[in-house]
Amino acid sequence: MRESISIVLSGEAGQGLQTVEEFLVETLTQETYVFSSKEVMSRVRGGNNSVEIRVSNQPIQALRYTIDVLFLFNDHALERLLPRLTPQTIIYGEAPFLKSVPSQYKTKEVAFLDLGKQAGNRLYENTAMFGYIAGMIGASVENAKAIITKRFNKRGEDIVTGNLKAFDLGYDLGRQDPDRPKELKPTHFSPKKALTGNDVLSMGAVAGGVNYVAAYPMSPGTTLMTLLEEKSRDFEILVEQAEDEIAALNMVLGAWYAGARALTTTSGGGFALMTEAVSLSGITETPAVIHVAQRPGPATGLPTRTEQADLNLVLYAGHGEFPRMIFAPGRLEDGVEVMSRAFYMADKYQIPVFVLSDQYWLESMSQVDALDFNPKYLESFVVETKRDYQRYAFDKSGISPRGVPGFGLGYVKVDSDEHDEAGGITESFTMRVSMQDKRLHKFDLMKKDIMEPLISGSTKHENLVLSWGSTYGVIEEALDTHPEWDLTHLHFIQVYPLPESLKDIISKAKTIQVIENNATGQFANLIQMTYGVKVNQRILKYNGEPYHIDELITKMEATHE
Amino acid sequence: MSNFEFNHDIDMAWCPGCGNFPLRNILIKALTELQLDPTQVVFSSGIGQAAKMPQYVDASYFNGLHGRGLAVASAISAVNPKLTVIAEGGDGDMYGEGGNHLIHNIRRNPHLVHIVHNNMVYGLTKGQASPTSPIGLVTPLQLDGVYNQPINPMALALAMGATFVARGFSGDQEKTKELIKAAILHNGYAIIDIFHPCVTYNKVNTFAWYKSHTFWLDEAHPKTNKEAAMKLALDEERLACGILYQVEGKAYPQRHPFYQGNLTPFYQRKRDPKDIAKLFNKPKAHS
Repeated sequence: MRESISIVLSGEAGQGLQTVEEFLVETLTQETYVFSSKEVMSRVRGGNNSVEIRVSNQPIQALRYTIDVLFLFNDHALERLLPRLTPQTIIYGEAPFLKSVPSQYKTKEVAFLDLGKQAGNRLYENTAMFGYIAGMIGASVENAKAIITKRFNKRGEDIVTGNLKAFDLGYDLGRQDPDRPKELKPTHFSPKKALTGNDVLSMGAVAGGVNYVAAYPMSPGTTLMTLLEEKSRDFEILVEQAEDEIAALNMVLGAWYAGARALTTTSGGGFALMTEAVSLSGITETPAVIHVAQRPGPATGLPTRTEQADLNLVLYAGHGEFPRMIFAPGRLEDGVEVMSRAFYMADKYQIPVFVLSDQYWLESMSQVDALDFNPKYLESFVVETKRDYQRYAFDKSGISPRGVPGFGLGYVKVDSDEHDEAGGITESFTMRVSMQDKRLHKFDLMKKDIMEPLISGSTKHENLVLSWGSTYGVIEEALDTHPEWDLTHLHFIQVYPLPESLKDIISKAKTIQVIENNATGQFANLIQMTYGVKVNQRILKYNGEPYHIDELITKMEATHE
Repeated sequence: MSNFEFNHDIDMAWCPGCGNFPLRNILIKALTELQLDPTQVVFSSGIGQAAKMPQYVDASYFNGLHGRGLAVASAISAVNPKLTVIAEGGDGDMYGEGGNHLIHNIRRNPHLVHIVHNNMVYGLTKGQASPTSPIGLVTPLQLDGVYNQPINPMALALAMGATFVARGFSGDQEKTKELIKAAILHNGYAIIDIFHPCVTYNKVNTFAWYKSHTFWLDEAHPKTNKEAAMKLALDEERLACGILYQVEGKAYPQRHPFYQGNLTPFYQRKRDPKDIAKLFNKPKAHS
């Protein structure tokens, strides 16, 4: 039977929540199923942030709304979390932090600061807390200590010893806690990697051959740029902070034009500034890879929260008509696959390719057995030019071979005006139609490269649940725990263009339900438009949070009454 | 090797008598005299009549969006530092729509030449004020005359720390050609603001006006002296032409830690799947 414990840490930005999270997840991923995610306020210090670490005896990739065990890092860390408490919740913390807890809830005082001091330094208090939690849930001491040692090794032996001692002190107390939750250990388990969406996108970009990044910082799109900068020495990646998003995408186009594999990363507001250059990519047939990390809008919206509301923006960005591809990763392995594939497809079809993620997916840590990459995606489609080279030649393949300036004897003439085969400006109506047909014909050529959705659940295909991107894990868990619903889940990793092969399943289905993290059902609309069907039900959430498993089950149950 | 001139007739979209014609001759002569290989020369331009220049020179080009020529050019030169990269456009394109890229590319100091045709008026959109239009210029949109202070591109470039700042005039072809050659040979960002008349829309800043308001710097001008250069740049009565300022500086490939002295074009750099495999085994920096 599937069981889980939700452990929540709550404190201010800068108090070390993330360190405890990383310690716990990296330890637990050696021995059990674990998933974690954080929610933070838009400020540098202070406020109230929280991290949920959910441990289970079965694979999970979703949060739970109700909290089993809560650790408070200060005296104002509870208020925002009150609605998530149950009569069973146990709240831990230093005595002063527990004063404000309403009397109906169970509390337990633990002097983490003293444990840190006993180990030699008050700064070890978070390691003591890590030890306490590890003790409560019966995590392997050996794994935990290996991680502490690795983390502090560079800082010297004293610091390692002190932290290990703090861990032991905490662990012993946690182990003796009479209220500690039941231990959830899977019967069979092989150690897994625990990574964030940002981690896997950066790996996918490297595997896709990225060697140029131009971007302007905007949460939650910035981390990808930072991770690629960290990899820039090992993989020869030029990372440039652009003066604005308009420059960023124009620079990415200039870089592809000159022979790079270039990426930009941003969020909805920054991407809005890039839309003219998306159109430029379209007419000049210059490849581009654009990562759009969604957060709630309009405008500045909720800067540190999550939403899936920029599908329409990415789908329709840029004036005029031209082909594009849009991917939205759901599992960790999808992040590697779509980010590396994006470079290949952009190069192959000379189009803008989007990876559409969101704050929740990027910053959550989930598990994967092993990650692999496809070396095929490194293949370059650049040709050496001959003297009579014409950039926009009507080639029998349907795609004009793409040269880069300086490589070969020809000139590479690229134009944002409608152009002739040589790349010169033209106002010929005939040439206009021929060029537009050539560009739009790529929609047909791309059909053989469209990714099919992940299909799970009932094989009857009568009642469908459709979803895309970051909602994969939570919907899978809901369906897994409710086989009586008899639902078939179609989860889309490529959201545009959609595969024609699904027309049959979708048009024959009795009911179609679409679950999205937005207010209007943008993907549901795209499904209706593409397949000419009526979506019967939209389950939507747009308060800035991702779906929680308990909440989603309640919403889905309501539709089965 | 071609000399950048077409071997067939081309129908140029400029008005008869436009200052762009002599500028085109100057440009082709400069490139030819430097014996550059046309396959190693790339233009990047935006939108406007000046931005059409690359259409009429036989070399590679990226004719992109209004105002964005410099952003594209800086990426081209970053990705292939061996190319001669020229960003070219008019005053509206480069100083108006592209103003932010102007400021920040001076900071970046990419190895490229920035040529701005400055006729102090908009042409392709039919005669409105440009960022360099003088106060009082009457246009179809500024019926009572321009009331905003014009931008001073030379003073701006100097203040931002540009290492090559020059002004030319299409009426002085030989001297302006030499400016372009010096700019191409300069290591780093080199801006040349080139005065030239718009015969259709600017009846104030005419050929005769430029002739009488400009003078050429001679050998006596200390071009490594920033104060002297700034003084000239701020003089809006007698407009100095020539290299106002030039010093050696570290260009982008010498500044950015990526290069480490290796200027190999990106299309020749290949990634080894074996290195990627290492990352996939150890995806976290601290693991």
